[in-house]
Amino acid sequence: MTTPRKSILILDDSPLILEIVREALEREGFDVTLAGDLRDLDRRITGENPNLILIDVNMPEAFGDDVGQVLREVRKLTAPIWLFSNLDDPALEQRAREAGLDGFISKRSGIESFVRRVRQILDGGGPSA
Amino acid sequence: MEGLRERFMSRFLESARRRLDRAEEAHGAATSDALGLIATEMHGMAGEASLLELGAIGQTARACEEAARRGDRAGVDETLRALRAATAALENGSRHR
Repeated sequence: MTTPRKSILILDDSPLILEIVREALEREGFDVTLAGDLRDLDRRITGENPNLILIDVNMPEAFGDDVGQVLREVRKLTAPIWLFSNLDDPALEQRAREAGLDGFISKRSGIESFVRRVRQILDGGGPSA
Repeated sequence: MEGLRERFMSRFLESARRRLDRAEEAHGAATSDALGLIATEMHGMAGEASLLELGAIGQTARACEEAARRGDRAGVDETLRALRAATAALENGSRHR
């Protein structure tokens, strides 16, 4: 019996960022669903149960920490929700904490570090990076 | 993650060009929301560069974003020029491979 692949849902307004992370994560054996805006997110999250949700912070329609808070408190999603951003770590940490989210991953560390961090999270790793 | 930067370099340069075009247009127009637009574009560019481990470009884009957020037009001007030069150099480097 094969182990089901872990799934990740990513919301980011940069199509390029979405393509890079999809390719990187699929190479590592993850199933990846992408959303480029809130309407897309709503469509893709309905009926799905991802193992991890990653949300960009600075988007045209809303801040990602607000979106994450709504997913947690209003949509009652239980999947880990992490912020994913180019903001500095202290700012990201504060936003994630105040929104009641599970952690943050910085884009500043590059794609290899990002993939390592995702793997750590899905293997039961710690709060932030 | 071997080859990801090479695989996405042309897409990055295309995105960078578009972002710089929009930022420079806003900078030239000097409208009330120009600095906000510049900050948004540069934030996006910084994220894309950082993820592809183009550290210097990422840092310069962040510096431009920060200059825009504090209303420092001279700083915006200087960093936009630096970014244009850096992406042109990258493009020339890519072409000669």
